[in-house]
Amino acid sequence: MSEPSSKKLSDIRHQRPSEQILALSRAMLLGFLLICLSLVYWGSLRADEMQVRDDNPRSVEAELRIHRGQILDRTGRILAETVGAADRPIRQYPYPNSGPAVGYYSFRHGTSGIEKSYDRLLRGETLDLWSELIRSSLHRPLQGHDLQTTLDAEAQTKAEALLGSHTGAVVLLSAEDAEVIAMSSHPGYDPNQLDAEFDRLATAEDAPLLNRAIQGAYQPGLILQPFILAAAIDEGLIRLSDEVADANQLIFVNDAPLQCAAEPKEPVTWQEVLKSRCPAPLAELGDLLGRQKLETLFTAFGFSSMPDIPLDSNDLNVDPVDQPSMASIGQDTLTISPLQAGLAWLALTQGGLLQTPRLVNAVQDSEDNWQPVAYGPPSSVRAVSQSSARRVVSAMGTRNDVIEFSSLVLSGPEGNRNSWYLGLTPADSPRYAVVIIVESESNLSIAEQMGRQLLQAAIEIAP
Amino acid sequence: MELMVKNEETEERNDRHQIALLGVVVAFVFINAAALSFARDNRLLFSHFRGPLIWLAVMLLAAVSLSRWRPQRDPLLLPLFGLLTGWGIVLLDRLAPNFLGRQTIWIGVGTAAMLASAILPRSMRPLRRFRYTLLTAGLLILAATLIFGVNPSGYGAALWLPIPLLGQVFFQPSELLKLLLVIFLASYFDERETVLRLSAKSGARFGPLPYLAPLLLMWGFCMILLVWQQDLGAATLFFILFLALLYLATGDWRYLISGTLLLLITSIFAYVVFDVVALRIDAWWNPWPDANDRAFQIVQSLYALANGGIAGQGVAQGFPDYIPVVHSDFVFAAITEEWGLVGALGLVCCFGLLVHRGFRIAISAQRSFDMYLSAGITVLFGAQALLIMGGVTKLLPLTGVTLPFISYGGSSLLVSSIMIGLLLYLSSES
Repeated sequence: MSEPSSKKLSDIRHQRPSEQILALSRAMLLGFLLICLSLVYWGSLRADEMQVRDDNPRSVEAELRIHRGQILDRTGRILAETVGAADRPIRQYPYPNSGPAVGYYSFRHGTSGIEKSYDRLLRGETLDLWSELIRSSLHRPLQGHDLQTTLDAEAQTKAEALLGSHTGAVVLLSAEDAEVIAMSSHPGYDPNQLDAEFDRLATAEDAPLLNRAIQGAYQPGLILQPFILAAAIDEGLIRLSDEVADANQLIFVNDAPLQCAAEPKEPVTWQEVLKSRCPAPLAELGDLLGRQKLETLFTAFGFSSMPDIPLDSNDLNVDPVDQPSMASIGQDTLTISPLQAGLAWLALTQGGLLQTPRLVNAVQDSEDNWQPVAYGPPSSVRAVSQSSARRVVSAMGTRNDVIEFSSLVLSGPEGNRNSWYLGLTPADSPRYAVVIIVESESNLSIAEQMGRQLLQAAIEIAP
Repeated sequence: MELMVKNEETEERNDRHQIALLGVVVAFVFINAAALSFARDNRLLFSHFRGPLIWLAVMLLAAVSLSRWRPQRDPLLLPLFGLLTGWGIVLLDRLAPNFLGRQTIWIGVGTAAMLASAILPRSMRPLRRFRYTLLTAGLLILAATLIFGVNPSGYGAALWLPIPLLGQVFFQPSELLKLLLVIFLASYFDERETVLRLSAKSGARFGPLPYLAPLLLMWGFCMILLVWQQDLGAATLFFILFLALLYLATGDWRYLISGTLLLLITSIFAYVVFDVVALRIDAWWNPWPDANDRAFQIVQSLYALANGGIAGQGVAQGFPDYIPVVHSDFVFAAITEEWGLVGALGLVCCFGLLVHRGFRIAISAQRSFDMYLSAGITVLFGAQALLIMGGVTKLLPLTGVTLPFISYGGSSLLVSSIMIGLLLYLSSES
């Protein structure tokens, strides 16, 4: 009994526990294998999901590393550029009044204007698949591309200064191509101060972030008169030399009385009605034209759809004409934006063809070569005939080489009046068109002075 | 005669392997230092090479000394040590350059200690003889930390002792205790293994309890001190070391099972009692609701892992700085972000290799004490790497241990270097 036990003891004494060591070794290597699997799991299987989480600071860092492209004006002046250290870039706007067309870029608050619509180009997300693969595997930051707008920094500054503290919008267009040369909306904002002021801007009652030039929806009022008259001539309903009876008759819109802006001179012709901006004959004309003709006319002048421009716009809800007489004096369901008014004004003065507005001249491609932006031709169908349009325009007369039409427009049930101004210069071969709206301003000459000065400035900037 | 020729051949082969591997390691470290310099300053800047050059000098000295005095050593250990410390230098320059000078000095001191413990000892006998003295000294220092302990960063667990006369130099006694405990346990099991093994074989469940009692007491004392100090990592590590060596000594896997159960029960108890434990387990189990608050660190670590991808962002091109104290507990996440899966898996393989070589030394050890000591050291390295890598990848709750050789921390580096030195000594003995 004792002998085997002592034998066993010596056996054990000389036994190296190599089996146990091997077992421990395997257990540890298994542990390392699990670490490897865990690494693959987080580093590959769930990596994409981790990368896009809101609280992952890497998305911020990646965004900050992007060298955003420049926005230039038509002469190459910088409207927006990225400066500062590579890891703390600052978006700078050398013209603090670059306006709603340029918009803003803010890491925290997003983008608007061209900064928004051309975001991918400015960020440089335009590489083909292969270049993008090379870029991302080398962890190179995105290199943004530049773009050149049709805006003119000087005209823009002038427009902003003229609009000043008034609430409203200004659009300056080139007559030939409908290039947007200046666009202002007040109250506005300084894009350089956006981060600091965003909370106020976003909640302010007068909506400084709203681009009134495009998003504003205003009663057109008597500003429709030239368009309606041209259409009526086309229809054979009137001739400008025809006499009109009871032109200065009062008509009521929601109990507010409307009358001619000036006492029409005898004999009262349609031309005199146009010059004196008389509502009563126009309302009658509306009834004569009828719902369908009016709607077709509005569509032909671009009032029933948003202009094709790469800026934020509202969804346009075009209600059918309710009362033709009210619709023809712009007090029915139709509301229009200043840009729509400007384009229709250009169509009327340029022979009846509606053009696509231009805002961006050229963009850099992925090799940083400038490529012009292609725009489609003007609408193929004339809104009104060339001859009627010409007749109406010449009936408006010129003043200091400016063809203009303006009107106070009843706006809203409180009897507020907005000032509309449409202008075109030079009279014989127009190069610039301007449209202005000043909200709640019953002194029409303010808008008129603004428009004349801006047209004057435009001619001086590029004679 | 034939044997001597064979020995010489082995020695030459050892040296060749070591030099070749070191060459690869040196290339790796300097290429990364250059990459860091370009990423940071767009040119080669000497300041990024100062650390690596000192490291290179120290490594060459170590290589020559080991070839001269320890020709029979394991040829992989020094290159592994070099790779991990060199990588650590580049990483520290990238993550916390203000600590770089200090860490470079620690690498010098650590390498000297490694060479001393690899070359100077004639035998391991003194370690065995004075084991209780060593352990008592260790425990005394640890107890002193309870009273005089500070935390150099000004907050958190006070696990450091200021070293007098050296100014802002601190020592972490639990690191020293790691070394002392592994020596103590090795000699204890060496002495008792026959009895333990016999009791285990005879089938009496928990038969050797009387023999184990002092050991359990000693362990319990360590645990109390550490739980008191809330040094979760060291407590877990000691317990794993103890379990592994107990398993080696008894050959009975039931100890492993019951030990693991004990660990789980302790964890549950700690979860209920200690806030710091509860916080870490909560953050591990489901970090997402607390991602910006209490689980910030682990979530940022996972983001770093995700950002690494296959090839990584490249040194100094990722964003590991978002992880709090990335240079000590979370270097592994930084490595994964900047060197990618390739680098991280490579690093795991390095630790796997270290563990493999360590256990190989244990298997071929001539003496029982040597076997326990090398196995114990290997278990410490392996378990420590597993704990922190598992913590960083959310496989385990965070335990707050350093990644051996790479994390910033002088005490940890010094003690790890001594343990590598001991492995080198033991490998040339076997």
